[in-house]
Amino acid sequence: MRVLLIEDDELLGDGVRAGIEQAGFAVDWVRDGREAETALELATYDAAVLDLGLPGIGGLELLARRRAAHDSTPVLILTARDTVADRIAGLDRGADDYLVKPFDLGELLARLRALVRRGTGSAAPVLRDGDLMLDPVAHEVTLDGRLVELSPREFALLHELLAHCGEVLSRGRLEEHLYGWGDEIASNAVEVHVHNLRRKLGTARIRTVRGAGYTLGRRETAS
Amino acid sequence: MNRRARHERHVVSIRTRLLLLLVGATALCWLVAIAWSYLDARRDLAELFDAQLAQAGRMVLERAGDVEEMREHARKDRVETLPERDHLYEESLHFQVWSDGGRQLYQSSPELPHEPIVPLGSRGFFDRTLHGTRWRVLVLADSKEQIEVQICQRADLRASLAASVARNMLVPVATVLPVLALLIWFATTAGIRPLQRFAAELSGRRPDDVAPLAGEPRPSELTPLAQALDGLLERLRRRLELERSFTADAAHELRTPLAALKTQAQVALRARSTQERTHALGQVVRGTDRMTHLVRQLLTLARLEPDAAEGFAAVDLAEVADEVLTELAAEARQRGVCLRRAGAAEMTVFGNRPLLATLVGNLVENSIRHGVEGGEARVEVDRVAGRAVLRVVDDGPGIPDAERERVFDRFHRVVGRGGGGGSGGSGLGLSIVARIAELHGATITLGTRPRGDGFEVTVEFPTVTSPRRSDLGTNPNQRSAAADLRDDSFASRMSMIKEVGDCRARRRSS
Repeated sequence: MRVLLIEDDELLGDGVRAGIEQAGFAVDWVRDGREAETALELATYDAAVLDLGLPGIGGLELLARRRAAHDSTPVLILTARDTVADRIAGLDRGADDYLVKPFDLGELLARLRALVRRGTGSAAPVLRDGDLMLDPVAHEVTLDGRLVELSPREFALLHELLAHCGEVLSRGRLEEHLYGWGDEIASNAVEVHVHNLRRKLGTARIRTVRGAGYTLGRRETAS
Repeated sequence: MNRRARHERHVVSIRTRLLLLLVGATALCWLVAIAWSYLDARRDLAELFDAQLAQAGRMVLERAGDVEEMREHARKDRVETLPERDHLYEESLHFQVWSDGGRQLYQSSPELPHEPIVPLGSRGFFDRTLHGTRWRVLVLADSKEQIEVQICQRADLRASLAASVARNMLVPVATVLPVLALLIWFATTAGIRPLQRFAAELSGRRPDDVAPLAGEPRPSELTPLAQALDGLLERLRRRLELERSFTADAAHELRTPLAALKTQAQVALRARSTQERTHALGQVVRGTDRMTHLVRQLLTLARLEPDAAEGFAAVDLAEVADEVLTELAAEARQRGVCLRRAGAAEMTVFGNRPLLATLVGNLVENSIRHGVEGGEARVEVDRVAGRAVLRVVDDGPGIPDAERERVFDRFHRVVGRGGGGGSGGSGLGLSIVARIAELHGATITLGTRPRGDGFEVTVEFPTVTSPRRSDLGTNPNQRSAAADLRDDSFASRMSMIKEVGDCRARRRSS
């Protein structure tokens, strides 16, 4: 999962980024509307967290522009303005959710997960493939009822594959969803994580589609 | 008695004022008319009485043809035949008859003196006082000048008659005046009704209704009042809007650091490594510092009430600047900024010392925060054209022209100046500076730097009438230095430069 954080306040931005990273998401953090616009044009995000009080292009204007450009990235607004009229304006401009400062980090993460879930077309909070279950809230993976220990990156990779069950995801796309801009990525990072996941979950679970990428689940329809 | 009650006592209502003025004016006009009538009546009466006197005198003269008969008549019949007084005024007419030899032939009353009332031989009307009573006297003589009649009449009768004419006129006036007052009372009540309607309209207004009053049709006398009130309403509306937006801004500005604090604290709670936790807790501390700064600035702004000017005294601005620079030396050193003080060693302005320290402090802090590492922030205290001038200059990135208008707005932060919110500015510093300057009657100008970079703020204080005060500048050397700096030449301005903070890097580079 990769989230774009648009926040001009250093301290708040730093905290939100750390919090989202703790939840296992990759985060790109931009400080103003123009940078955000560029980021959204260049990459695909599973969700964006948008502060309304931005210098340059305001948050609401940015949102309206992106929606006009048919960008359907789920957007959660963070704002200090708490009147009903403000919320209505925010949601009507194309926001998917609205949180008033100061917020609870847990709530922000839960709402982000909900946004990402709906973005993938699934309403169930727990992702499953046969006897494999992934709980994004508890950050737990169970195989046949037994807890499987995964590193944060492995968890994020499995989360991405399960969220797009049956789809072939390219290595580049997986990298994009696992790492933010600042992260160092080894050239074979995805292969290493897939290898580790196969070791922990069984080799047949994640299949390599030669020249295309990796996929998980719906073996019967895929074959 | 309190001031309000005394005040109410002295203010007369418009209705009472109109009533008093109108009734007074009417009464005055009537009194003048009555006085006029009185004088007129007196004059007419005098003519009438004089004519009567002349007629009576001539009758006496005719009857006095036979002197002996007259004397006989006087001796025999006067007491018996003269009837009792028929009329009030009858008694008031008396006469003497004299022969040409100066012998008295007759006199009508024993009360009269036995010598002529006026010297014999006089002719015409005279005024005389006999036994304390004023008399009008007419002297007549027959054609042969043998007999002279002196006939006299009491003069006070005329006056009392004229007075009674005036009195008779006064009675209806005195009766009608209260009726008139009542009518005027009703008339003024009707007359000031538009005023009452206006008042009712005003008091019936909703507090948020600031529609102009002058738009409605109203009497021309009320139009200036409505216009003046409109001006007041407009000023109030702007003030309210400012306050409202300030409250909204303040809420926003407080919520963001609070959100940052809470998020960082929760990140620390969820941290899986010591490094992560330490970083988040460090951010909590930074956030708390920022909140503290913000709250302090907000309180400063809130305390800058217009009555702060009441506690003004002579303050040495140069000394204030020196103190502020010493206080900020540590922060400047931390950021690698060199602080310099240039200009006069003493500069008296009229103001509030703590507020002036805040003004200088905010400007210097601004320069330290937004300056570049290894750069400098310079404070100049100077006298230009007799006015005390404080200038704070840095060589930081400066501000774009588009932002110039807004830098003094509350909570406005300049984009790209010192790396966003991370520099810890509250966005209130310059608005506090502007407010303090306003309270001191000082003007602020943003200077343009020669190379287009850097930030320069000039605060120009109003002229102080007594520039030197004995309670300032205890150090005699400082005094003479200040005296040298009284002229505006650049060389003398730059003669005193103090360095505070980290200036080594700068000296190495230059």
